Amino acid sequence: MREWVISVFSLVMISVLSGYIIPEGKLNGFLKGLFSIIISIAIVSPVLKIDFSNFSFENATVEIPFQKNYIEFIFDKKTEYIKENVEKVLEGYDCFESVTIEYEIDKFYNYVIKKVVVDLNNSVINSNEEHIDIIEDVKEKVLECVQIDKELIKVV
Amino acid sequence: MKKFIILIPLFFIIFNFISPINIVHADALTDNITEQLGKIDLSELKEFIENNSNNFGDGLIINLEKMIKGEFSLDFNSVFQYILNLFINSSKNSLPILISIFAIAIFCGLVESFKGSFFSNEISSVIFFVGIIGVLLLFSTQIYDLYDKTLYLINSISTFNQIVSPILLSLMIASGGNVSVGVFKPSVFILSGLITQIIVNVVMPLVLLSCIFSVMNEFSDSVRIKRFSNFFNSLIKWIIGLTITVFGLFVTVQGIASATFDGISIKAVKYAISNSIPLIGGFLKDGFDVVVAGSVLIKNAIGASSLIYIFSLLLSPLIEIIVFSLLLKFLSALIEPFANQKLCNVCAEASKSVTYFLVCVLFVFFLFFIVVLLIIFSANYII
Repeated sequence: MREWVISVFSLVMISVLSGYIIPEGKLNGFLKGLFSIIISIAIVSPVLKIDFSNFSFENATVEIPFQKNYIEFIFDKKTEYIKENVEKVLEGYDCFESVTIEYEIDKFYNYVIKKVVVDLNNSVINSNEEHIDIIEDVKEKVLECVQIDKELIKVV
Repeated sequence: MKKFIILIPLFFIIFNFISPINIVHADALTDNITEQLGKIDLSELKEFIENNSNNFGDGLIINLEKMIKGEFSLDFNSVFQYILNLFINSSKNSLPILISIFAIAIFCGLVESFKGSFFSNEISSVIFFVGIIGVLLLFSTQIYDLYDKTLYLINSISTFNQIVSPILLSLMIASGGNVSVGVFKPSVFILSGLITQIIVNVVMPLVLLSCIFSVMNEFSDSVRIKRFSNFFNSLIKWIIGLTITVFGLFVTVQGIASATFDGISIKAVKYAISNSIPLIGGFLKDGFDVVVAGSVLIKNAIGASSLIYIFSLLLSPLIEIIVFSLLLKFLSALIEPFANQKLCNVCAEASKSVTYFLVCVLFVFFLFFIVVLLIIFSANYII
């Protein structure tokens, strides 16, 4: 662009100076007309060289990296609180030992729970009591706190 | 942001009259905020501020902590005093050039009035031509200096946007605004990338070309290229107008929809999970709400501080541009009674071109302002 501006500016200067140097007459008029045409061509010439076929917006956007450490810290906290809620809900079961929650961060930075593992290590079957399938019960209780598919809840 | 600054003291008052069970004390919120601030990486932000220090922006990080605690307040007297000092200093710096142009205008005016008696037409034309070249040389360095400063400022706003946006968007993710992030991420990309490139590589050169062509048009009656200058001005207006329309529509419409979606979806999940005491006026109940509230507070504080910092960064060059443009216009009016009409036109056209620099800077700042404001207000409705 710099070269283009310099060329137009130079042509204008030459045109003006020639108008002052050359006395009024046919030659002066002819030169003025000639220089006007040359200046117009010089101004328009870059437009003819533009190649619109190579124009693309691929480099127009800038990649912005998120603060992964901070997001993981917050999601760890979220996991802790969900775990506390699940533990509160499962407190009533004598056999309840612990709960482990695994999560992942998807490509859209959504918090996605991959697995909930409920440990019922202390389960003892009392022969005087009616057999109750508590696994389904536990899963239902967990589902009250965590919005995930039932298949992702494991009771061990 | 104001909502949270008002709510924090209300927490103290109302919760003291309610059972202490499930109360979230302000201490827990403050501790949580301090913990979160320790995890956020602000090193790039601090480095940028150190490299671009100015009188008001240096306290950005300190202001951040004060804002979160509700202790921040702007000292308007010192701001106005600073602006006034900038105006006075810019005027003093521009005066030598303008006085020189005034002197040349008087000389050319005298030559014009003595045309025919002391000077022949050709000699007075040559003297006038030399005068115009002299005026052009005098203000061209100032205009190019302002052009450089404008480009630097626009690139600085873009760089700052690239530094602050990951922080704000990460805080938005932390507060559950994932859909909003999906909306604002491309807006930030486009602002930092495409729009800045359009302004720096297309609009600013067009402004300079418009100035050059309008000045060249005044060299002589035989040189007629004024309409090229008008064409470039129209092109600038159309590009800026279209860009702001498309960007504004995109950001506003999607921003409103996503914020509502995030807010409703989070509240629906919370209602399904907790079958307990309903929230009283937005007070915090669950433990994780403290974390979310903390991240929302930090997001709002960083957003507000960023806006104040960028405004402080652009104050000085902005006022320089305004002062130079106004003084050129004033000069053009001052020399009109005695100077050649072409000389007045040169000053007036240069003033108009310098105003376009101002338009470009304000345009980029305005877009940055809108995006940050939308980010601040979008995820506030989640809790």
